[in-house]
Amino acid sequence: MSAVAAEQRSRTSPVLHTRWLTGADASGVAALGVLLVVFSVVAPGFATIDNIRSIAISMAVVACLALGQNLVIMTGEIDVSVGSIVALAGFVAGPIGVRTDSLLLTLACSVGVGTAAGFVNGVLVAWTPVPSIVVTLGTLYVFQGLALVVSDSHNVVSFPSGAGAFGSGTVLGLPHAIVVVIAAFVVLAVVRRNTNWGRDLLATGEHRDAARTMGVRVRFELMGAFILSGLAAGLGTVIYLGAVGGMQTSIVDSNLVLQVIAACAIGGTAIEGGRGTDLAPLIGAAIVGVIAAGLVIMGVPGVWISCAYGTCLLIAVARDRVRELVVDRRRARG
Amino acid sequence: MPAVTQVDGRAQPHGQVPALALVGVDRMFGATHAVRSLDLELHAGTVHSLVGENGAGKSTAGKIAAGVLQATAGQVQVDGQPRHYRSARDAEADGVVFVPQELLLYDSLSVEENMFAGRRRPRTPLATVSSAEMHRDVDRALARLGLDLDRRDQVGRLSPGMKQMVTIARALVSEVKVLVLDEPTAALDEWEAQRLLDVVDSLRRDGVAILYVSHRLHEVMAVSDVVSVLRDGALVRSAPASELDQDTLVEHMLGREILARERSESRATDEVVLSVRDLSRAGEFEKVSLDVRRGEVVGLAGIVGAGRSELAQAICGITRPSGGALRAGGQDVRLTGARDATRHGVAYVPEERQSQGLFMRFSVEDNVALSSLDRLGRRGAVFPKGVRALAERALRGLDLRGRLDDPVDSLSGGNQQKVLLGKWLATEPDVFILDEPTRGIDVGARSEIYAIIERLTTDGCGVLLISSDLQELLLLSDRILVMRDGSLVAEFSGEEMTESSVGRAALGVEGHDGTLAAETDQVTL
Repeated sequence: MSAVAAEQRSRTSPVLHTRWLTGADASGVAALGVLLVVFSVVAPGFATIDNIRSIAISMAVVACLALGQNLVIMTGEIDVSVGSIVALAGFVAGPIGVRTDSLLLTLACSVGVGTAAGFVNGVLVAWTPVPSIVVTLGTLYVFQGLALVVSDSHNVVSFPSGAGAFGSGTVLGLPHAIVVVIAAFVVLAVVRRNTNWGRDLLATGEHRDAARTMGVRVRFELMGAFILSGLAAGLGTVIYLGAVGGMQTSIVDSNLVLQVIAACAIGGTAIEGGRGTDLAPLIGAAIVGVIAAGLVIMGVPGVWISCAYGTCLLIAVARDRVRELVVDRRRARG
Repeated sequence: MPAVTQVDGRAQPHGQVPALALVGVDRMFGATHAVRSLDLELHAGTVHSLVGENGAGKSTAGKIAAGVLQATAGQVQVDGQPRHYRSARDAEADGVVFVPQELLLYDSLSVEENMFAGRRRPRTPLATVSSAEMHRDVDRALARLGLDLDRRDQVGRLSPGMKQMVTIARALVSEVKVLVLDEPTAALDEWEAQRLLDVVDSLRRDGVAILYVSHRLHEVMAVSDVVSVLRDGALVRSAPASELDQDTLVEHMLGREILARERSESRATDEVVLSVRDLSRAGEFEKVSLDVRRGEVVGLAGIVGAGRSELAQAICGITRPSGGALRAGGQDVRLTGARDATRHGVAYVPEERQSQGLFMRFSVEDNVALSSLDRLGRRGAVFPKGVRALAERALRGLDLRGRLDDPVDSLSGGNQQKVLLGKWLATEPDVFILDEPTRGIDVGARSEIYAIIERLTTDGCGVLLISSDLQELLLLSDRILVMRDGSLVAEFSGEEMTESSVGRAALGVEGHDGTLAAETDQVTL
């Protein structure tokens, strides 16, 4: 038995065995394709390399945060504090980047702060009976307060290009921001599919009682998800600093977190947990970015863009329900 | 009776160290003693069944054996060594695996993910999960059970029987020494159940020690080497299956306590207040017909999963029946929910008092008034004085110990139940459907609830009483209908209405003289 197992093990290659694009992603990808075609036709200038590149950069921060958030949502929880984590990490790491122009140092500080914040969220969610939306709403304000204290009301300005390399510059025509997000996606997808922790994430969100009964280490799952969400926020901060060239204290009032959650939902991850794909946050962020850019180029006033986001979100959620209804009815008919 | 009860070749091996043993195990849930100083031994290659009424503690005992729950006191031993499992994951490492009911699967995940959730997945040399090995393990487990299933199938789309097979296949993914099956056939039809029993038998032949928790006695008799009976958390009898028969088991399960209360005179009239015809709901119950008359108490007996609560909820329109007709208050109706049911004089008092019946943090008064706001309001406006008067009127005679302003969760279980009854009394219904009205209530409060039910009939209400407590049903009912596997299978009244006749019909045990079988045929035809 063990000899067979050992032989099998040696023959097993560590590459990914699960498909990268699952059936659940199909509708999101299709929607993205349709949007691209439609805007290319109706909005002259949409389909230019420059425009697509600028959409990509503008959505990179949202996509990066959504990659972490997606894991949290899979467990049936939510992390509404990520916007404040970006602010806190930005005002800690920003001045260091400005002073040293060192990408490594900025990255270490930002990711360190993000991970620590995620750790705090994780501990509170896993070890107290308080629902995660309340816990992270609380930490949202705590992190936001800390960010303002640390910033001392000074914006981070003229962020140097060295420390900001994740947000600016290109390699082989691809913006660095995109390369970073794709790298983060690959790493997280591998962790999600190829570790015990990652494989049990969806079970944690699908049926909490069953998960407990069958030995899923629920606290360990939750801790990991929130830590990675914080870590992703720290990484997103570095992209943000480079792309925007600094950080204003007004960032605490932005609705970044709403865009992040919307990206996951639009991409097809079920907000109640238990169902979702690794690619969902990227698809969702891309859809949101494409719509925003397309409407801008068509000359639609900015105030309408929120309405477009909202409609998009509602359609995404409805799509899920419709699919369930269809499946149920088919099953009921026998 | 099946002819598999002989013990040749599989008599319990004496003097051998048991594969798993519970030694003096106690388990409390709050103040409830679910399991009391239980001793149990499981031997390799034998099936040990654990039977008992609902709430007797058999599932709890099974879960403690497999590490899902922890004993409050006492010990779990594997191969004679004491073990302290903190979770099912710990126990699985020793080859002690819990097979949950099919309800504890992840519907939106694949068969494979379900089989590995919560356990250590095979690794590659790079410490990543080895999907190839997972595939192989899953396929091997499915093949061992002879299941024609794809590991990629979504579990939510499988039949209950297939789901239950998946839970067993899950246990076989790793090397298993002790298997604890918790009511594995509860949701299965006969054919699926038989298939499952075959699987249990083949696992036994492979030398697995099996703890089989069930209340389906004919299956227990067919598959067991040893049977232990629990009542109120304590072991009342443990013996080789060959020394037992179903009647003895029923006797042990029910016990012989007698409630100190006289049956009162029937107040049943001829006027039908609720008439159900051929009501069905796909997958839950089929073609149920019954009448409830003014002043009559109709008992509805059956084991958990027989479809009684589902029937009650469909009558009230809380769930949508897939077929059949309903008459209430003298007209054909199709009820669309609790509020609509109230309007037609049907009050449904649900089983889950705390989650379905009451707003635990609201005051007594608000709880009572909530279902009557329609009749209380004048053109949509509700006045506090009216609410108070209504609550007082509804609770009059219920002897509620507590003030109208008290939040409901500060009351005892019995008093909560009175508030719940009062709430529906306020709607002045013609029919009460009571679902397990005395579950979790102490003896004193219980007899008060009985008095209230009697008062309802005096007032001219009809009562449909669902209860898993046979003595309660026998005490209160004018007639008893028995449901099994989603159908009405028998009706008893007068002299025929005895603990053993009703109990046997509910458990699907045939009578010695064949009378029950004959009645059953008559009713179902």
